[in-house]
Amino acid sequence: MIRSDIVRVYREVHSWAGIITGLFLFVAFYAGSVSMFEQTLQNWLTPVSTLPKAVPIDQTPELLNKVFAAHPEARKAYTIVLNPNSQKPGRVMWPEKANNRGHAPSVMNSAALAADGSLITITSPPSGTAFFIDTLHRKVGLPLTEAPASLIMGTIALAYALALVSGVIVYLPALKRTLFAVRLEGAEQRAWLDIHNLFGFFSLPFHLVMALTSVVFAFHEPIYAIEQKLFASPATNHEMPGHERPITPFTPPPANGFPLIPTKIITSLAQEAPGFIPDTIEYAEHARGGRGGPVLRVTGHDTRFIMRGPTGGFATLDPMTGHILSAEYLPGHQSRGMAVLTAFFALHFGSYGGAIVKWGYLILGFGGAFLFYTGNRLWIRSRQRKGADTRGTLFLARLTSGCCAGCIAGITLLIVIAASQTGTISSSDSSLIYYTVFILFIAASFTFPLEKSNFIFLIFLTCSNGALAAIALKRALHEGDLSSTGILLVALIQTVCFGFFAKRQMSKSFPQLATTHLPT
Amino acid sequence: MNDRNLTIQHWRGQLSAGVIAGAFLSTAILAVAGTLCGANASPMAISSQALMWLTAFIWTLCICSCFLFVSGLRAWLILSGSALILWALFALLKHAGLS
Repeated sequence: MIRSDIVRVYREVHSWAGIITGLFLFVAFYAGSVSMFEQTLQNWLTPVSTLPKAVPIDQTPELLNKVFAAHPEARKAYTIVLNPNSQKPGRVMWPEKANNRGHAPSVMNSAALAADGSLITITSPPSGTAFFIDTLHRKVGLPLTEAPASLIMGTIALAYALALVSGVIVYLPALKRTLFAVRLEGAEQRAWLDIHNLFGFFSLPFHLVMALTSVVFAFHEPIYAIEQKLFASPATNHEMPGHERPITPFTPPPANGFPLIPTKIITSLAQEAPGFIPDTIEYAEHARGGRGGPVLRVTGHDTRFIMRGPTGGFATLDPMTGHILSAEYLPGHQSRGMAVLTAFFALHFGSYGGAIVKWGYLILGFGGAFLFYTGNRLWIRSRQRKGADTRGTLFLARLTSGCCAGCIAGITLLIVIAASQTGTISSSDSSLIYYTVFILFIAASFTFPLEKSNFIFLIFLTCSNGALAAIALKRALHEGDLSSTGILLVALIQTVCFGFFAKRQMSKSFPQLATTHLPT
Repeated sequence: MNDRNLTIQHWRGQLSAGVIAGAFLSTAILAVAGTLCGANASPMAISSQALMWLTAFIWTLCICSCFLFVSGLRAWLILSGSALILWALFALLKHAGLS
């Protein structure tokens, strides 16, 4: 049994840590859930390319030679796409601008061959919408640049960890009795508390992983800098993880610029790493922005193992022989220590176990956002009951309602707008759309009476999700693809949920209407 | 952490100790553990990455447990005191290693 004074202290800590972080975490979790399918969404929002069907993989050397003849700069760095789709339409792609070091999707050139064998290239701006939603997730909803956003995110992550630990300390003694007792019949306050505890308890491991990994994502650079100060010796190779080591001894690539033909790379890799499904083959003449030797990197996935990145891992190969040089990030071939570290990343990204885990994370993420929302509501209710600090409580009530609804509305409307465009939307335009909606919602929550604005918000959320469901349904019927069906499913569930809450809210906001029209 | 009852009123001292002294303590543990396992600071190395995770974890732990100290002063004394001892140990190890 935990001492009662400890429980009392941590109850205070839990409510304050929770109230400070709740809204940031709501945005981070909602956007993060959507980002589970970032690549799917990006592909879905990129119109089908006008490029002819990609050349067969064994015809790639011919295509490459034609690309190099017409665009010599492509020699420096290019990508061979093994499964072309809307966002990667050509078999061969190369960046429009060399050395794009940012994380933003860069403008790529794609090449294909016409029926007569002549080269056709297109330059397609990628859809920035899915990328923007991921940025929103990483920056906990703040429109700031990397450095300050990262500091704030780290602080939020620490407070989030504190809220989790204190929540466990406070509710653990009581949980045994009340875990499954969701008392929907009693006071509304109790039902909210029971739901909050139930959600919190069952997603606790998920939340602990998220909190610790987020602390690491925010503070790894200063910690590495300290390590550098403490342990670095002149002989140490100071590269960031994930960057390639220069290959030594270095043999210059043959004059045609292509080291080994793709089919050979694939067969060689299939022998050395069976089960690994390659997605792209990336070749760069010089590693690390022109300072190192040539690098051949194969990215891909293997759902039987944990994977370092959100979409998979990679292997660094010898460009001449195709042998694996580094398997430190290759799923299932890592050293034991590296695999343990990779597990933390994989647990954050949900990059293990394939589609089932991704859907599970989507549900856990939405559940997490809901957890934070219920937390804020509980805080507001208990303050209102005590009659304390009414102005501050009302402020928080308005902010909670505007912020949560604004985030969902902003993301939904952004996807609706992006999906109904003929072209693509850049990430800066996506940002403009999202923040306009978000700020309008916050403004509305502070302008109208709370009960009225809540009702308007719920109606808006129902309609925007309904619109998204309609767009997805149209595409699902037309193209019969899995992405549209998945988006349709999520949008429909949200439409039904928000519709249900809108109906409930109506009786509160407009009691006279509810009694005359809805005899319930 | 004795028979005196804990209260939330010392939260400023406790929390600042958890954040600041906790940071010194976690980096001190990083310094000692890194020296003992012969870390070379290359972010490619497993040791560097594992130490980075360890530091973040211990810092988080300090922030979570700082409210268990009866007062802010006590939290500061214990956390920064153990940090100092570990930093001294690190200096000693480094000296012994170099000479």
